[in-house]
Amino acid sequence: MVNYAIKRLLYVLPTLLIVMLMVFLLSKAHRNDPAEAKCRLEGITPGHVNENREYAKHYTDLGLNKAAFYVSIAPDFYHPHINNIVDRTLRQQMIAFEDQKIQYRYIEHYLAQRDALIRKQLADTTLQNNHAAISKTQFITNIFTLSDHVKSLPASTEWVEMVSTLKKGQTTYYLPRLQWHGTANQFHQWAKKAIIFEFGTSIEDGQSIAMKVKSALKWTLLLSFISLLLTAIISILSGSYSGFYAGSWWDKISHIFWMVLYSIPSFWLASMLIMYCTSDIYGLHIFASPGNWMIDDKKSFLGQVLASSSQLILPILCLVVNDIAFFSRLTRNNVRSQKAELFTTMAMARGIKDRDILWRYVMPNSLIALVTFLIGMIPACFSGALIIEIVFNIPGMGQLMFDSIQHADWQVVFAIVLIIAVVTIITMAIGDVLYMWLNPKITNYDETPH
Amino acid sequence: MKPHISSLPVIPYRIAAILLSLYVAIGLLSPWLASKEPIVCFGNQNCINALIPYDASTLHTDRKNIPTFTDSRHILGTDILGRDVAAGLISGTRKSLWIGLATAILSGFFGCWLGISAAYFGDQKYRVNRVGFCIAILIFLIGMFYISFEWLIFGQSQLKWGIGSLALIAGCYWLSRNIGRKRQWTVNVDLLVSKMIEVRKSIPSLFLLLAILPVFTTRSIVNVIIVLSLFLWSYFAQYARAETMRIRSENYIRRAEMLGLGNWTIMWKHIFPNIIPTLMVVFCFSVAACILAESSISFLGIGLAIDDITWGTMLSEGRKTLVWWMVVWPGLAIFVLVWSLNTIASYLQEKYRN
Repeated sequence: MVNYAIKRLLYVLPTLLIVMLMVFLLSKAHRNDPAEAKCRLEGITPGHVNENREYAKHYTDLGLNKAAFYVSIAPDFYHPHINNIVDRTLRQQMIAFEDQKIQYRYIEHYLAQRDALIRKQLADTTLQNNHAAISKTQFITNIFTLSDHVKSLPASTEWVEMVSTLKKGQTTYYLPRLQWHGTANQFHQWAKKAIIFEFGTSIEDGQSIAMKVKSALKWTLLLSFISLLLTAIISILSGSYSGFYAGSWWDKISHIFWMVLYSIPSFWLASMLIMYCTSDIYGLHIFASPGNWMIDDKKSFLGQVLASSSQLILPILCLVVNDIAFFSRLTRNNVRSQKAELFTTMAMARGIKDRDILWRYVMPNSLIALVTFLIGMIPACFSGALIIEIVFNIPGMGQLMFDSIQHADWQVVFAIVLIIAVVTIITMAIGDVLYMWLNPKITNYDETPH
Repeated sequence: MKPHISSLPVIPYRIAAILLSLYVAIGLLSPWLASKEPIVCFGNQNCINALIPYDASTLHTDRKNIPTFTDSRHILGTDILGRDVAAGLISGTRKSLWIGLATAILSGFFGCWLGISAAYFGDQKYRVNRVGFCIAILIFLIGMFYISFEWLIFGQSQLKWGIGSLALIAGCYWLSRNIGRKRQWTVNVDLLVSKMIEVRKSIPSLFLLLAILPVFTTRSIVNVIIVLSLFLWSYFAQYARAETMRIRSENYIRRAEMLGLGNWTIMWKHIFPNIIPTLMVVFCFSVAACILAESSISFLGIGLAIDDITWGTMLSEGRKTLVWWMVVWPGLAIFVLVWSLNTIASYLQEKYRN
């Protein structure tokens, strides 16, 4: 048992590592530049005097000048340390030229020569009419357009020679180059900070991401906890009776009723409730309208919850509806299969009352599996809370995530995905251990319900 | 398997089946039910128009925000831009059914394949040739490198890349089966697949869905189908694995093995047909879940493009403008479709219960 618990908890680590890798990969798949976003937060827009200096500062501070991962595989004509180029334009142009299969040394040479020549020619007042064409050269990264363009420039022999040298760098054949970057890479740095929950600052308001997520996580956990608790109580009560008296009219009616509840889209129910029950438009102003969350920072969390409890009724109702239907169906099937066992028949033969058979003989056996299923429902509960939080404007993880996506605040989004995954992985591991602890009958520890 | 006589009423299932076929009919006939273009024309003036002579995105600038049942031209009303609600519902039916079915089929294929092989091969049965496997992995890596750089980065052709990588995988598989049969490794397929399922299940899907969808620069139905399939396969894999485990030790499978039939033949001709009842249940539930997921992300404004009118986008517009006919009708459409799918699934479950 203890061995199993330790083994199961250790299994969490590789899963966590894979999840972290996936989140990091996702953050690289988004084409956003955190350094640029930071500049924007400071109010430094493109074209500002300090733009390049500030950008370079943030770029190195965020560790973006390091390789992305421990190893990299790239064609051998690629720049070996492309992220070392701090200047954004130069880096992008390098990549653009590389994608036309030009060797990086030739590109480096060309870029340096080009900038020197442009500076020289722009300083020359006699070429004033050509200044626009000369400056345009800096932005051309297609080699064919470039060779056409330079013919029209002053001192065109010099330009044409430069471009023809660049063209000589084009290769057809190449080999893969495997590089080892050691621990000085972005993933290592990010993972090291992520383990101690340090994700940097949000670009939306400059607050620490960890703080933002922490205050949001409380609400999501609260909603999930209350809805799971209600689900458990109501559905065990109703499901056990319909399972024990399977085929009775109560079972038939409740099956149809739960099927209807199970199919109601929670966001539709939420929208309907908000529209009909919280405003005067349709006449039924029963509940407090969502949206005005006066959260008093001085109060404790419990105080905040109590102060806004009237606004929590509808969200919890919407969260619970689908889960109750699902879970009572599960309870019903579980109880019914337990009732078919011999020990129930034995108890009946002994003349024990139905109620006692249900609560003393059948339920304890069913509860073991049900608790595990309840814990397995936690990820779905978080997902459900996401959309409900957005509709009812509750300051939880879902709301934070939605806002961050709207503001392209991707660092917050990845932090949320990671934290939600960590919470889920840990609760599921605890659930498995709990299942083993509750159920000493099971010896094959690899066959857990999920 | 002997069909079990259901202890539950049959009438809801019949209603559900009728409703579902109605939805499918609307989805199939939607170009003729709501369209700006006339269906057939005889000469210049004699045209037979569609039942609702507008597209879902036709703007009626003179008829904005008409409530339901007040205008004979727009029976279900129009939205704030003057788009017909009924036409929107019909075009939404087609999209929802398309997304639900395509995602369930795509993820069902991969999920079944993984789940059946996990249970069939178990932890002992699958063996790879040591030399062949190493050579195949090496060739696969090098081949992937060249294919990706030549066609994806230098060539910008995703189709070529897709076909090329599939061909490469097939070639590497052939190599690994046919080189060096003397020394072999045993692969624990079951553990591999179980861990894959566990990793997938450890992330709440809606959160990851919201994080992944903005990666795509274009918003289209195909992207939504691909991303939803990334989440859905695990259910098929889980149930296919459990069901295969159950029939794995039956006599007819043992006999097929003794006859020396190939692994693939046993898996697809002897195991797969026998687990279809369970898979049908999972399939129906999955289609319903997909339709719900798609309308949720459209409701949040993240899935499809804004001018792509679906039930979810109509609902979100109705919620913002607080008009009841934009909230009630699309929601009812989702609810009834999901209810019929779930009811049919639960009927099948009851019927084939062991």
